[in-house]
Amino acid sequence: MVIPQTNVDSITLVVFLILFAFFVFLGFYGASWRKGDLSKLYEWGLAGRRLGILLVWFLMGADLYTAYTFIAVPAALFGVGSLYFFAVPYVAWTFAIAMLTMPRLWTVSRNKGYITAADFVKDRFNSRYLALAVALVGIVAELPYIALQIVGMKAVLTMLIVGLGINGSITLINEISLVIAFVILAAFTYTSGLRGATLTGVFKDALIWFTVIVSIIAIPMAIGGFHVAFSSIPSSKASIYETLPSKLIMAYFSLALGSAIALYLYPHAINGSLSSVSKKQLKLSTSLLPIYGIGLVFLALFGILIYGIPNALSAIKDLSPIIGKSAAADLVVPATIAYTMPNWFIGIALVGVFIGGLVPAAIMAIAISNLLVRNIIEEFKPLSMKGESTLAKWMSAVFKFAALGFVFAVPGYAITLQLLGGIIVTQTMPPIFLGLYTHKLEKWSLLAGMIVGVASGVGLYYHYGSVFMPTPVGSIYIALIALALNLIVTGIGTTIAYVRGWRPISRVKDEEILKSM
Amino acid sequence: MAYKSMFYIAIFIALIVDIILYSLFPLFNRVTPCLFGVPFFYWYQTIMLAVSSLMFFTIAYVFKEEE
Repeated sequence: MVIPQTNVDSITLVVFLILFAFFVFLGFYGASWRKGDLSKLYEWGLAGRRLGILLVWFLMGADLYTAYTFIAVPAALFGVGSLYFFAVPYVAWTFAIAMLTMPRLWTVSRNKGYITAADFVKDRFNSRYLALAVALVGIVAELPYIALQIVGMKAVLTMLIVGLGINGSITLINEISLVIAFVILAAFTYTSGLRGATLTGVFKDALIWFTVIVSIIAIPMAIGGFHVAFSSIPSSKASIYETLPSKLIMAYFSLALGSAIALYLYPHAINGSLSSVSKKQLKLSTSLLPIYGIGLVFLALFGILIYGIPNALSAIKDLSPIIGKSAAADLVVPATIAYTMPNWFIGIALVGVFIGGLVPAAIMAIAISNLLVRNIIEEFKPLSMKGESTLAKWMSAVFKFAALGFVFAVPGYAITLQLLGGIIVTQTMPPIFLGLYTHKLEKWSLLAGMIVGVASGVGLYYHYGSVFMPTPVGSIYIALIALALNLIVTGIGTTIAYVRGWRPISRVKDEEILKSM
Repeated sequence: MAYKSMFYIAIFIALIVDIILYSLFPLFNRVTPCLFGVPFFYWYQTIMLAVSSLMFFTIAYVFKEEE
């Protein structure tokens, strides 16, 4: 089988390697940047809380715009159609939700010395079991999201190796790419911590913005405009790309809303917000994040643009039967660039997309190891500062292996990994988000609600073999169905408790959530 | 009486407005008018990202000093 010749050559490889070497240098330099004692968990995990507005904006962008944006959304748009443009309203809404919740969580964390959402839940509802559950659910939900990053990094390496025309089994290349991606991720996280991730996040965003802006102008010009891409779509499939088929409106809306609720419940997103230096900076940085969504739009449109590039399209079609339909679709962005842009530019773009998975994966792994050590292990066995930090570092490596398991366990498009994480993490919404507004929820009811939410969410996912549940009004994203059950259980439980004489008490006063004390 | 924050009320209203803007399917779920060959469905929602950011930033800026 012959894959059409790409523009990838040795120059591409050299550019890729030089930029990657520079990235590694930044990662190590980041470890000593604005010097703090990395042996403290606090320093490794929250960058000593000294990050300014632009850096917070970049850090948030760095961990929120990930292989999800660069690989998974374009692949799903290419494979399934306009339904996956739901990522756009999702991005707009999620930052409004962040502004409703993160400044409150930031304030109360400052006042009370919390570093995770579970710390807050523990005090707010007076329940260590609820805090344990919140931490555990956050950790499990983050794993498929990390898996998605590994899939993205793999896609870049596969394109690079296939493009270089290296002879050999494509399946083997695909597997080797996965191993290399994984090893690099593990080594990078272990050595640098969040400081390294911030500095490299800035570098990554610069590369990505450069790639996206240049390609979204150059590629349509090269193929004669977007209308060429749209008119190259086979007429039988045109309707799923040009607009949203009306039977998918409910699916579209619920995916956007469920994902918007989910994002700021992920430990890494909360971690990023808590790194902000002041509440003012947090508000301003977050309000500007929808701008990043415009980059997401351009990348998503690659899923359609590729129809105007016959060689890229046939490369994906040729690879489909060998590496699988979804793994081939993951190549949409790398292939679109590799078949249209000059060799040196491809090198820059591929590094951008590669570290676009690597940096967020590192940030996510750090966030959940913090959570594990602080809110689960230390609940049972106190550790020294040094012991805390060492254990967190090792656990971040263990979690990456667990994430790798999800790569194999979850079939279908890569975006399914993130949507599965969303179903799980959304179930922590009542104790965290509602907890920031009220303490009048009873702890055992919240816990029961979460258990029902996670069990029904995962159960429905397996039952339907999809992230959607068919209903009379159309397919609905399971995260919302499970959240509804969760809220019903929490509400009924709290009512019963109240009738039986329970009254809300909280170690956190409302003023402590609103004002710096 | 507990301390009230205008910032959160304003953002909540902005979120509702934003959800409505992205729910007007009969308005934006169509091909024409195209912009650079891209159907209205796509570019309407893209423009709304800038609108959202402007809306959120204005609120954040106005209430930036609020505790």
